[in-house]
Amino acid sequence: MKDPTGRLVSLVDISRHDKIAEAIMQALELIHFDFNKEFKRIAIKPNLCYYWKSSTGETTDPKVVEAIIDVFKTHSNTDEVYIVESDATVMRTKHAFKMLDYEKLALRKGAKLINLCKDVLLPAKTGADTSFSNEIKIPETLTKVDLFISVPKLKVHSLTGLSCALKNQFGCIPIKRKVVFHENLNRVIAFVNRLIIPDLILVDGIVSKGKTPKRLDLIMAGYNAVAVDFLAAKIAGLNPRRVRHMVESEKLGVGSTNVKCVGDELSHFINMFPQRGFLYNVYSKGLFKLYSLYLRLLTSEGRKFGLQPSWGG
Amino acid sequence: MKRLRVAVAGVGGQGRIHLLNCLKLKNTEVVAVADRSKLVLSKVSQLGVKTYPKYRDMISKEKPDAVIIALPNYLHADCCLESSEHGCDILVEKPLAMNTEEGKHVADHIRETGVKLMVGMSHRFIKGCRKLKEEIEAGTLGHIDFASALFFTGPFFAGKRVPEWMFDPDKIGGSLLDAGCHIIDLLLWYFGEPDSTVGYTDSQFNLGYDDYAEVFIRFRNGVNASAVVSWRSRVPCYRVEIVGEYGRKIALSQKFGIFDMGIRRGLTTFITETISQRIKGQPFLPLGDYIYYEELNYFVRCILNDEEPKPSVDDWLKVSKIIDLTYKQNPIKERE
Repeated sequence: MKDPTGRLVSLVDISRHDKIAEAIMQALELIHFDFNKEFKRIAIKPNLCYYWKSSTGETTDPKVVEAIIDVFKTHSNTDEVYIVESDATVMRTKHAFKMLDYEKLALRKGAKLINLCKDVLLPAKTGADTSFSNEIKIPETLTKVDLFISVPKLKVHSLTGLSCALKNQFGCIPIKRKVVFHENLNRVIAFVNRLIIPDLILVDGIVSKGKTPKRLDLIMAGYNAVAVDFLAAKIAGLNPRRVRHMVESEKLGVGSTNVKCVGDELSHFINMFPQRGFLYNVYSKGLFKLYSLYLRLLTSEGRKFGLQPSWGG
Repeated sequence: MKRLRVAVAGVGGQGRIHLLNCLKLKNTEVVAVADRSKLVLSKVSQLGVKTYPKYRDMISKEKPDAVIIALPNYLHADCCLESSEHGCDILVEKPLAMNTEEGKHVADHIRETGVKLMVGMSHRFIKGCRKLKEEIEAGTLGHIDFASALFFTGPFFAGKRVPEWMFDPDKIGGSLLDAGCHIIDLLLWYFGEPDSTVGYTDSQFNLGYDDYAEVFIRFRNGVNASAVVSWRSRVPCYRVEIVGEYGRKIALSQKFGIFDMGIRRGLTTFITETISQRIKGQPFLPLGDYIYYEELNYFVRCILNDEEPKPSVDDWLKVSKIIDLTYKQNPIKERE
């Protein structure tokens, strides 16, 4: 890698390329990625937050992961590929891999699917004195690979505002009930990013989710999660200074927001992104909170059972 | 006042709603609840209701007047047989059975034991759908040429934890059996006997069952109808439309509260429903669950008045035949 500062972040419009792999190659060249080094074993961490297809703008497109595998097998003599994800409170990795076509991808490309919750866990060596620093362990697989690539989805998030490179690392925590960290979510994200550091970040912005999902045809590449998220926040129409997990990460020394953007025009993607307006946020969040309040406080059943809003057949 | 002694088998998502409604109804008494989850049972026991980890034990020991079955799909038929064996009337969540053959077995048993069985086709209690039925019966649209029912829902749209059995095709059946049965039942309720049917199913989730299905039904009275069900949607959608010689009518469900009506209309619904529930003195239930209250109320009334509740086991068998035929025509294939 020829960018030790981690300042470079490239933006590539894949509609100008015939194949996703070509766009990824260009994105990597723009950040001067060194293909002379051999990466025999690589781990790829997509964002599989739930069982929703990539067309919803919520999960990483398996085609992007496939293209990454192709690029590294061709240019870096990669032998072993691990696609890693960990269970979440409401998501089980084995089902997500199956439903989102990662099982088929692994079969085609000879990759290994790994549930980080079932991996050998190593204690984290940090000096951080937090309530969660002892609970969070490091999956062994991520320490054994030559290259750890994070492949987040570019999207907005109800709790953190933005979900991209920094938030994707939250999925590396090998604990099922990650909901316990939601109270300190921003601090935990920053902490995990100091603990488990990706060597390379390739953002899937083919379909991104803002107010609605929208095709952006974007691939971003960078070395530093804070730098990548800084541009991602700009694209999503968010003030990076108000994305708290980014601010916390910067404070912890995960990275810097001093970014050098290369490749296609940033403004093109900013204009394309389906940004959530102020009124939309107030209206939708307000309604949800009103309904939660109605269930919890006004209905006797809600008080007894702590009912949450639920809509379903 | 005569009260119906009710036991609830399964207090997961749907069972919890039934339990809450049972506690609200004045003419029911919840005698026991059965569920595998210790956590759920500990919560229920706080209400002073007896709990059992196994429904067989609950039914044989408590001998309730009626059993509400809200277990995972594959256990419905077995629990129906067990309940009828002990002479309990039954309100069973759809689907009654995993296929027509199993359904017929239950039907034979029900006839032998003489108990009453109602299948929980809650969509018959959606206000808009009931209104359409009245319009059809009154003939206000003239002859109906076409009807369509669209139901985009499923276990995955809301981003909630999905129970393990819902990933198993042998335990859930598929989207057509689990959710499509609602709209097929609705169409049969509206238009009577089907003449011919053709269907199509698709699977994108690689789970070994359908997550999308379309069924076209031609009825003996000349109505052509289509039913579409999908579990792929991120946002639930429900729409029933009938088109006749004098125009068309549409029913949108209020079942999903604010989300299915659009945000603006949802807010209005939210406020008006809340106020009307207060004014009418009806139980103050969480929005969206009212149709289940109506359904249970109807079931209890039928049992106490010794009437046959509908949809019956025979109504279910008609629905089941269409579903079986569709599955037979379209064995699930995994996409490349």
